[in-house]
Amino acid sequence: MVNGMAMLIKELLKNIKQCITIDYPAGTWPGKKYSQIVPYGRGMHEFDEEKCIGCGACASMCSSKTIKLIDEEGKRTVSIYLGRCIFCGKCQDICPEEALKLTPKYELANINEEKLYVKNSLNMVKCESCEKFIFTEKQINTVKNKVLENLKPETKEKMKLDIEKYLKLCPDCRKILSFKLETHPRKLY
Amino acid sequence: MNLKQKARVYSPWVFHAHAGGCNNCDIEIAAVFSPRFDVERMGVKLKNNPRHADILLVTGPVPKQVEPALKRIYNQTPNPKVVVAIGGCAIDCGPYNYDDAPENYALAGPVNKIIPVDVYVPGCPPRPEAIIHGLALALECLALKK
Repeated sequence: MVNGMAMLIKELLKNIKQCITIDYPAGTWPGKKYSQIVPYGRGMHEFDEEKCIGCGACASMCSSKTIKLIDEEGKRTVSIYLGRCIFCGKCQDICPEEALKLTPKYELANINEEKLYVKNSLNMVKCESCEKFIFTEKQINTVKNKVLENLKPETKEKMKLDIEKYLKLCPDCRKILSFKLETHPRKLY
Repeated sequence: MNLKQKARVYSPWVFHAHAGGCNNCDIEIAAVFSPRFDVERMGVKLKNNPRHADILLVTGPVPKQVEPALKRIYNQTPNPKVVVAIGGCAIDCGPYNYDDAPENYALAGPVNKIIPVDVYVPGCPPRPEAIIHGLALALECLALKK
């Protein structure tokens, strides 16, 4: 109680000496671009293009359905529309590769509605049998590495051949070709 | 720039139209006019009559009951006028409307469907500095209009 009163009186004495109003656009502190902004403040999105694999985890978690995956002509674009965004930070928390991050940049006002998009585009891979685009290249490589990391060395050599066979097929073709690939349950008995 | 246009840019008066919404953006607008983020040094002044205003600040997704009132407010403001949509709700209905879900029966769409919007300020709610940045863009729009 006494400490709080002392702090309050200190703040009051500070504000008598100097002007309270914050300068615009620069802050009152020297060397700071934005006034009173914290390093973990949630503002505009930013993709790390080397790390992003286009898995779509951020699109499934988005609370206002702003993040969308658009597949067109062998390219997958992850597009974020800032106009509907709520800046909750769920996409930043769930991203498995830590590619999406919220920067403390918040001055986002614009005259054009089309400039409120943040986008990232990735190349896709065709299925070998039906020739439809299924996954991105980076996603397949990361799935390979993550599966093989936690296996014993005895089973790793067997799994390497299988993974390279199955990851080039789409999930529908895996069901159709299950008898040829010896994954059908009737083959096991 | 004529003398009339110069005079308008140096003293723009603002009317705050509240169309639905949850009051968060309105609190931030009240903070903009407080002594810490002082906008009155730019000549901006808050008025409670649309007939005195040059700039309209619209907040919230527009419910069906508010739609005729918002149209009437827009028609009451004298030309030239600038409309600023503040917050995620005013730009694209925010979390109330999804593309894959059926349309919300209580909403008459975002502000863009009802009246023409000039400046968009995203955020939920936008910081007071972001609203000042949006007002600075609105003044540029006002200088070009006749």
